Amino acid sequence: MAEQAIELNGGLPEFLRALRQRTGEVLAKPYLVPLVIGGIPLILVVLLSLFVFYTTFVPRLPTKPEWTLANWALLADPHLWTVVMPNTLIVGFGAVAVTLFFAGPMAWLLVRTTIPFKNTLLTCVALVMVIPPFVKSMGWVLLLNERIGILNRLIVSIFPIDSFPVSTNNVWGIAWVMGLTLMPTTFFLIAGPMRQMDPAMEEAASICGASKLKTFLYVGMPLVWPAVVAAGIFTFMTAISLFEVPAIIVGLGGSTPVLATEMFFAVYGGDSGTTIRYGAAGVYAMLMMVPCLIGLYFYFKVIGKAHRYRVVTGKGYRPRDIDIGWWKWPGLIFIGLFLLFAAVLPLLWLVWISVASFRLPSIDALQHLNFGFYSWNYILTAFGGWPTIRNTIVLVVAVCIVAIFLSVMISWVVVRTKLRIRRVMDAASILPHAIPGLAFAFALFILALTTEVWTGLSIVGTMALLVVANVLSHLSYTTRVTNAALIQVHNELEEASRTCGATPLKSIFFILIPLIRPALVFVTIWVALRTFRELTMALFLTGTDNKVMAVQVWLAWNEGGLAQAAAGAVVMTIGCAILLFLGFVVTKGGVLKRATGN
Amino acid sequence: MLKVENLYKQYATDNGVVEALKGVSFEVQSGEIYTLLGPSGCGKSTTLRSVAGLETASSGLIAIGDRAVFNGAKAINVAPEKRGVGMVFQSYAIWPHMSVAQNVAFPLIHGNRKVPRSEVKGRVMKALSMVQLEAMADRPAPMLSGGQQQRVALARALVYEPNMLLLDEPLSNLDAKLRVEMRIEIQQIIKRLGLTGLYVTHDQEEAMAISDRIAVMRDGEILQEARPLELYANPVNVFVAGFIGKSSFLDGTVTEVSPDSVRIKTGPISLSCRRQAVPAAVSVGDRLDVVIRPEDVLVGEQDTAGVGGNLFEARVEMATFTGGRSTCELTAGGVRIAAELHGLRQLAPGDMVKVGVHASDVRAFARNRDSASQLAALETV
Repeated sequence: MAEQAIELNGGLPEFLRALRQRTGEVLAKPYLVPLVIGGIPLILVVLLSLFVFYTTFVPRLPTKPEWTLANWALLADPHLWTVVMPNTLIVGFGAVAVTLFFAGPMAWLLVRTTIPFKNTLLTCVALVMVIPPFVKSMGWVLLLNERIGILNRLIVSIFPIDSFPVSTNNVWGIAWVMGLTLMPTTFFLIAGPMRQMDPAMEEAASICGASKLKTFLYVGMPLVWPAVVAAGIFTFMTAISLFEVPAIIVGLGGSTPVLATEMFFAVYGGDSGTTIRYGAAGVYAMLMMVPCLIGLYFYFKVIGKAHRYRVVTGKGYRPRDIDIGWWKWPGLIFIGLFLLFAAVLPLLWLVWISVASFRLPSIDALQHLNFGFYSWNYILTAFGGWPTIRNTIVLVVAVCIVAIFLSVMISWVVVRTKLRIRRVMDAASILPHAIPGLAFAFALFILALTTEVWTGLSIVGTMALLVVANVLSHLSYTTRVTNAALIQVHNELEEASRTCGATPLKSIFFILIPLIRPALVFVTIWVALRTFRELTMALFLTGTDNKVMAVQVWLAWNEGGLAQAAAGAVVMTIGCAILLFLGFVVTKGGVLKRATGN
Repeated sequence: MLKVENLYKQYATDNGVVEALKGVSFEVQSGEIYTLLGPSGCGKSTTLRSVAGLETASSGLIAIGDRAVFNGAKAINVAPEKRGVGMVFQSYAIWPHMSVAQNVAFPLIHGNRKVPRSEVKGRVMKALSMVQLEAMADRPAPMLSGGQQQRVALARALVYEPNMLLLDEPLSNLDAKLRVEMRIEIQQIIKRLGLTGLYVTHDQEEAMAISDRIAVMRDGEILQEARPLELYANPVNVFVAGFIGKSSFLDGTVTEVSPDSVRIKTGPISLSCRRQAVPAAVSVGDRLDVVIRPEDVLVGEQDTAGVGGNLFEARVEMATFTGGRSTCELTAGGVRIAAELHGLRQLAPGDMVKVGVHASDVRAFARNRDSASQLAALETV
């Protein structure tokens, strides 16, 4: 058809007419606007991933046509293979072990048994998810650091030993805090399928004569196995690329390097002012991205397989809860311990430090509390001041608007059209899932530097750069939600609007968007929370004009103002709580219901 | 009013190219209700959606009124919102975030046939009164029953006064009783407003009741186009015969051909039928598919008195009382025939009965690969 239209059989005027008609036709396609708007961020995602690869072959900045393989010589460095990689793997697998140790039993207890206070406890797990990872990390450092940790100091003061052997400032400490941080996500990934499992399947096995253990091993486990494996892969991917936890617990360039901290160190050089090695950072980024991409592949393979293990029966039944009787007490203690470790202890101790500095809790200390860090005066001036607060608000609002708008456009193409490119778009929109925020930030940073050299435009350290980084890295999450929402809206609802005379865009804005509004509100709240507490990218892309609150907390921490940083962490946590509370009010509780799958 | 010419549609799936439409052509006169009837996957919905512009055919021509809205050769493809047709969907597609009145007002406010704001309310109420829903104008749309939602959908399709109304299985989500009421109502509204209707359904009874003309479709092709009575009386092949009504299909062999009648033997039964009711080039020994409708099968001494030679003994295998009618399955020497009797005629399994069919009620079609595939397709309908 197209070829016919542009055939040159009628001379130039005919050709021009045909061309105009063809152009008009393409412009009139209903999918044009969503395709273009949704395509831009995805192209950027792919380009940035390739750009990371490209930087590894460039001596310094990719401003001159120079090539080198020197950066890859890093792979021959024994330090990498004897220290950095083993550490990274310990953090990855350790985090998986910690999350599964808590998430597996807790999911079963809270979803399948008669344990009391279920809904409250589910909400608590969701709240733990909200606490920023760097806040938990700070809390644990202050609790269990070998020099300044309260527990260590207490034990040394009570027992006749020089130092308490358990501490956080090593690779096991990172794995422990990482596990506590990622546990809620794993929990909800496992709890979903577990909730939908038909108890009749287990009952059938029992009636066949299988013991409780065998029923669990051969029926229960295989049914939730895909979810457990998928959650494990997801945890591993996140754990090896999350920068802020190791950065706070062991610092940069220290004796316990992992890939994420080494990468940051290569660009920012830590305190010692070593040479900046962009190419090396690129190689570190590749070392993180490749396993993540492989992990993502298996993640979707397992998720895809999960259909085969379909545990949904489709009937409107309510699984009966297993009566665990007296065992509810150990169960409650187990859950309580998790909440204590993941939230109560670190937060309480941060609060204490922020008002009492490093005094041990005592009656005397209580009389000398200093709330100076919590005065408005202090928050509005010393704690970054108004510009920082304004930057944070601008960032959160901009990221929410842009990310949600883009993911509606992408999902519309993926779900609504039959274009072949929709599969590519779907795959590209999952990609940020596998690309660590650190790598995004790195690629954007180098791209911005390069652009500056070429055009003189100053974009390094701007809010715009930070917004782009956050939007791209949240895209995989937001498109999952919008995809699911769009699938649930019958195609005919939009088609009816078209036959009623409304244009494709009007149909999206007046019919589709109002219909998926609950999902959009939900995803907005979570994106707002994630952006608000995001530290890694904010730190990497920081400049004089785009400091946000999380970065200020980090700076205070890094400069040794531990009590001040603790106060900042508490303020950030309160900020998260306020955001969540607002969401809770707006959605009449829906935000937590959706998150806990109730 | 509507002209569809040589419409083809192919699309690629994971299992290769699917030919959804293979040269569909038909014309609908102004003021007519034209129905596309066929089993699921026959291409009837694809055709209708191509007329609406919701799907794009690969080639062919569609003209509404005297305006070409689709022309594969000239790359003309008018967007759905500019075709100016009204459409009613299978799922009703009532927007749940709006009230009844907002749903109906949508085309007047956001459509490309905008009317002044001051007129909107009057037009909406007029459309709602047409479907007797004035009282429900302010109700949220989800708080309506299925039948009421369908009425809203109809009002919304009519409010901007299109000349052509497209209906895609509009009644298939309603219960049986409501379905009958609604189809009469839809027919009356279309006729009263002088609209042209293109109707899609898989329900032959619905098609018969509502249509001026029917096109029976299968595998992307129109097999027969005719007025309902004609379709019932003279189906062109086994598929159409089987799709209209619930006929019995018997494997017959021609034993005698005379200028005005043909005798066919099927198992122990020998039936005579009119010469016009069998293929023209028939000769002794040919195998035919004999089609007999259950309502044409007569049972008992009294009823079979006037049927002449088409008489045989059969055994009742099964009798099901369904209220007004009772349906039975009969066998005669291995040949199975379905019969429909008055509800109060009770037969019991095992009874031996006298069975007869008027020669004019027996139809036969050439038995070949085509007919075999058609018969197989009927099994799945």
